[in-house]
Amino acid sequence: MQTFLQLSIIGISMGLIYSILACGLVLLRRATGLLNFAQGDLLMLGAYISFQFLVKMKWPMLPALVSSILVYALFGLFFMFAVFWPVRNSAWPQAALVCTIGASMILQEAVTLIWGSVPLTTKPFVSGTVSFGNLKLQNQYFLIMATGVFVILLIFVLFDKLYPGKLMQATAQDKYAARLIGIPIVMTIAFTYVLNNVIVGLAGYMVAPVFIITGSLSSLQYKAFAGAIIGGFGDLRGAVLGSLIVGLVESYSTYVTTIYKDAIVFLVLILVLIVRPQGIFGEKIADKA
Amino acid sequence: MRAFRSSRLARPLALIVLAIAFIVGMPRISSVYNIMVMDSAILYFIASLGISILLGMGGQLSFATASLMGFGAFMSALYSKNLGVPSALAIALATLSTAALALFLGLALLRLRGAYFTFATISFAYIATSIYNNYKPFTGGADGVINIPTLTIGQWSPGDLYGWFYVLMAVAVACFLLVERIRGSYFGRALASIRDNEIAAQTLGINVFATKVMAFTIAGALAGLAGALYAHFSTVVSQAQFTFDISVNMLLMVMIGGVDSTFGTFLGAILITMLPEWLRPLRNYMRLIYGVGIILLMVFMPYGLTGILRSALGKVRGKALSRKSDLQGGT
Amino acid sequence: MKKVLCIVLVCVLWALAMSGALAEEAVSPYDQQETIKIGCVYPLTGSKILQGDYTGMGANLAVKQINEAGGLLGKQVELVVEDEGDDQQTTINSYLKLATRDDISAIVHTSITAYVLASAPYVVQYQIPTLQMSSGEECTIAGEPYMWQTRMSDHYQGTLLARYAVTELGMQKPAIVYISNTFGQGWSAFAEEALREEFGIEPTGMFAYNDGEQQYTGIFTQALASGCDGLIVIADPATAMLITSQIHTMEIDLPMIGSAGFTNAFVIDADPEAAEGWYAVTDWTDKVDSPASQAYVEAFEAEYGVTPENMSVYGYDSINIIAEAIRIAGSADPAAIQEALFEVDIDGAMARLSPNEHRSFSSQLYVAKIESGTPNIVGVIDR
Repeated sequence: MQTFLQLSIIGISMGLIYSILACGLVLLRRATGLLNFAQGDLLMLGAYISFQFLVKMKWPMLPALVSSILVYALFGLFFMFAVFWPVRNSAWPQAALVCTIGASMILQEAVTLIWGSVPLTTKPFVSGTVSFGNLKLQNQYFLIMATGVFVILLIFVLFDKLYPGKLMQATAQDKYAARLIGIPIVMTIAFTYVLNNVIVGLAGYMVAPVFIITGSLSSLQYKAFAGAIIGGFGDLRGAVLGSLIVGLVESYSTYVTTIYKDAIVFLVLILVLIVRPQGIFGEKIADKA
Repeated sequence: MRAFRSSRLARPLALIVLAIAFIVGMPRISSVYNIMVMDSAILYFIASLGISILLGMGGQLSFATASLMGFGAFMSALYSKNLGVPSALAIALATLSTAALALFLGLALLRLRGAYFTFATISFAYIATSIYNNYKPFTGGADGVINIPTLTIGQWSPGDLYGWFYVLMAVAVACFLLVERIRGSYFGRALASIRDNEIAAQTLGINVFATKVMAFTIAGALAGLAGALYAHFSTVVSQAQFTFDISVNMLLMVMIGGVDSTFGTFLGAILITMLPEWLRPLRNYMRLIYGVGIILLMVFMPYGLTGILRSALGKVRGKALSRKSDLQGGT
Repeated sequence: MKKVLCIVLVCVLWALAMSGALAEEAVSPYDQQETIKIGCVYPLTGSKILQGDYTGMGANLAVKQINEAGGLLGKQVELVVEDEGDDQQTTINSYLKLATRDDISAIVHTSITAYVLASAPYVVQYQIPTLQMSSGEECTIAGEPYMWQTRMSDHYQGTLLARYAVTELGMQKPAIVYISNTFGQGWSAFAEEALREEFGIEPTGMFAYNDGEQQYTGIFTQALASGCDGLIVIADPATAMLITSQIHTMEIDLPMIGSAGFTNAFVIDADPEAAEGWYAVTDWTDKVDSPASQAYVEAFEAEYGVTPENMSVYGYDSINIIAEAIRIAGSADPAAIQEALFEVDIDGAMARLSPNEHRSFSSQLYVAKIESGTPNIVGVIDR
C-alpha cells in the first residue's frame, strides 16, 4: 500500500511536469500547426539559464526568477524567427518539423559549449523533505506541482475562456480568413511562442534542483508528447490528463520492470494510437484536405 | 523532338558512366580508411533509399529506419550465428523478416495521419532501442553480438574492405535500379499522388492505406537488407548503431541529396558520412553545424542538391527552348 | 613521348620500391622516424567529451614528463589523437586511421567495451599493440594477442564489489541497482555470480535503469519493497549524481556500496551530504597514497589546476606502460613492443602494473568511503 502511494505521488509529480510541456506543445500546434521537437531542449535551456542566474551570478531568488522569465520570453521570440518563420510557407510540409529537430541539435551543442559538459546543480528553493509516515516527498516537488497547477490554470483561463484563445484557434484553422477578419497573425504566433518558452523554461527552472542539469533533461519531452497524444492533441484538458496518465503509468510500471518503463509508456501510446487515434478528448482541428 | 530524345538518354548514360568510373576508380585511389568510410556510406545509402521512397515519393516521415536496420542486423546474426544458416541466405531471410515486421508495423500505424504517424515511429524507435539494449537472448544486451560470420557465397568471401566495396556497390546498384523502377511504375505514381493530396488521391480510386503500407514494407525491407549486410560486414553489432540519432542522420542524407531523387540520396549518403572527416578542425561543433545546416537546408534548399542542380539545368534548358521558339516565331 | 614517360615513371617507382625494401631489412622504419608516435583514440566530441578531456590530459602529462626527461631512445614522443566521437563506427574509423599509418608504434584505445570488441578484428589484422582502457572481460580474448588492457577487468571488479558488500558491510540480502549499458550489465552479472557462488546469497532484486534516467524514486521504492538490507549500485558519474541526491531525500538508511562513479569529484561536490557514507569500489581515486599516485596527482594539479579523475589516470598509465615496453625492447617497432609488453612491471599511478594471463595490467583495486566530502581509501585489494 505504501509503495503504491509513494509511486502515485511521484507519478503525479512527473505527470504535472509533462503537462506543462504538453500544454506548450498543444498551444504551439494550435497556433502554427507545428509539432515542436525542441520542446525538451527549451526546458533544458530554462534549467541552464536558472543555473546561470542563481549559481554563476549568485543572484537572490526573486531577481533571478524575474530575469530568467524575461530571458525565456526573449528567447521564445528568437526561436520563432529563427526556426519557424523562414519555413512557414515552405514547399515541403515537413520542413518546419525538421527545422525543430535542427534547433534541438543546436541547443544541445550550444549548451555544452557555453556551460561545459559537467552536470550542474542548483539548490532546492525550499530544502528538506515532507514525510507522511514512510512516504517522503522533497519540498521542491511541492513547488513543482504548485507551479504546474498554476501554469495550467493560467493557460486554461487565458485561452479557453478568454478572447486570445479564440484568436489562436481562428489563426490555426484558417490564416487567410483570420487575416481578413483583422486578427494580427504574426503577433498571435509570436505571443504563443513567447508563452510556450516561458512556461517550459519555468518548468526547467523548477525541476533543475531535483534532476541534474544536463543535456538529457530534454528527453522529458517524449513522455509529454505521448501524454498530449493520449489525451487528444489539440485539447488542453487532454494534454493535462494524458500527461498525468503517462506519469502514473511510468511510475506503476516499476512493479514489473525498471528497465522497460519508458518502452511501456510508448507501447501504451501506440496502442492508444491504434485503438483511438484521436485520443481521449479528440482533436479539435482536423488536418486540412 | 531530337533534343527531347537525347536528353532522355543523356541522364541514364551519364549515371552509368559515373557508376563505372566510381566502381573501378574508388578502390584504387582510396586508403583503407577511406574505403571503410565509403563502405559505411553505401550501407546507409541502401537503408536511406527506404526513406527516399517513403518520404520523397509518399510524403510520410518515419524515424523507424535505423531500428528496422537493427532488426535486420540482429536477425541475420541470429540466423547465421545461432542457427548455422549460410550467411548469404541469412541476409535474405533477415531482409524478409524485417519486411514482415515493417508490414505489421505499417498496418498498425499508417492509419495515423502526418505528424502522428511520425511520432508513432519515434516511439517505435525508442522501444526498439530499449529492447536492443536490454534483451540479451536476442541482441546480447548492451554488449551486442560479436563474432558474426562474414559473408561467404560458396567458397568466395569479400576478404577485406576493398572486396566488400564491390559487393556493396553491386547491391546498391541493384537497389538503385529497383527504386527507379518503382518511381516510374503505377505504384510510384499512386504514392506521389498521395503525397501531393491524399484526399484527391482517394477520389481517384487509389487505396491510400494499402499503398502507404506497401511503401513502408519496401522501405523496411531495404533497411533490413542494409542492416543484415552491416552485421556481416562489421561482425559486431550492438544497439548503439541503430538509435534515433542514426535515423536522423539518414533523413539528412536523403534531404541533402534531394528528397525526390534516388541519385541524390547516394550523394547525400557520401556527403554526410564524409562530412565529419572533412570538417575535422570544426569537430567540436559538429552537432551545431548539423543543426544549423538542417535549418538552412529547409529554408534555402528544400529539395537538396539535386533540386538545385535541376533548377539550374532547367533555367539553362528553359533559356535554350525559349530562344528556339523565338526563332520559330511561335509559342 | 607518352610511352617513354610511362616507362621512365615505372622504372623510377620500381627503384624507389626496391630501395624501400632493401632499407627495411636493415632498420625498422619505426626506428628511423624522428619522433616516436603513439596513437590515441578517445572522445574529442560528443556526449563523452568530458571523459575524453581527462584522458587527454593524463596522456599528455605522461608524454610531457617523458619528453622532459629526455624522451625514449633519445627521441621525443608524439601523441597522435583521433576522435572516438559518440559511436562505434567513428571509433573503428579512427582506429583504422591510426593502424594503417606506417608510423604508429602502439595505440591507446577507447574505454567503451562494445567499441573495443568491434575493433578487435582490426587489432588482430594490423598487429599493432593496443592498450585499451575498458574493463570488459572479453576484450583481450577477442583481440588476442595484440589487445591489452590497462585496467582490471569487470570480472574482478564486480566480484570484489559483492565480496566487500557481504564481508565488510554485512549485507545478507542486497539489492543490485545498475545502469543498463555494457559496464553496468557486466559488473552486475559478475556481482550476482559472486554473491551466489561465494556466499550462497541471492540478491533480493536486480533493478536495471536506462542511461539518462532522471527519476529514481520509483526504482528505489521497489528496491526497498523487495526487502533488501543493503544497496549495491552500479552507475556512471552522471547518474550517480542523481542517485545519491534522490536516495538522500528518500532518507534511505542502509549500507550502500557503489561503483567507481561515486568517487568522482563532481558527484561528491554536487551534494556532499548525500554522498556521505557511500562506499565505492574503484580502480583509483586521487586519495590513493602510493608514492606514484601522489606524484601523479601533484604533477596533474600543477599542470592543469584541477584534480585528476579516473579517466585521466587510465591515459597516463597506458602511455607509461607503452613507454616502458619501448625501453625494454630498445625499439619503437610494434612487433618488438608487443614482445616487450609481457615483461613490463612498473609502479603506475593506479597500481602496480604487470600483465596477467589475460594481458591485463592493473593489479590493485581500492575501496573508498566518502567522508566529509572526500573519498578516503579504506581498503586495498590485490588481484
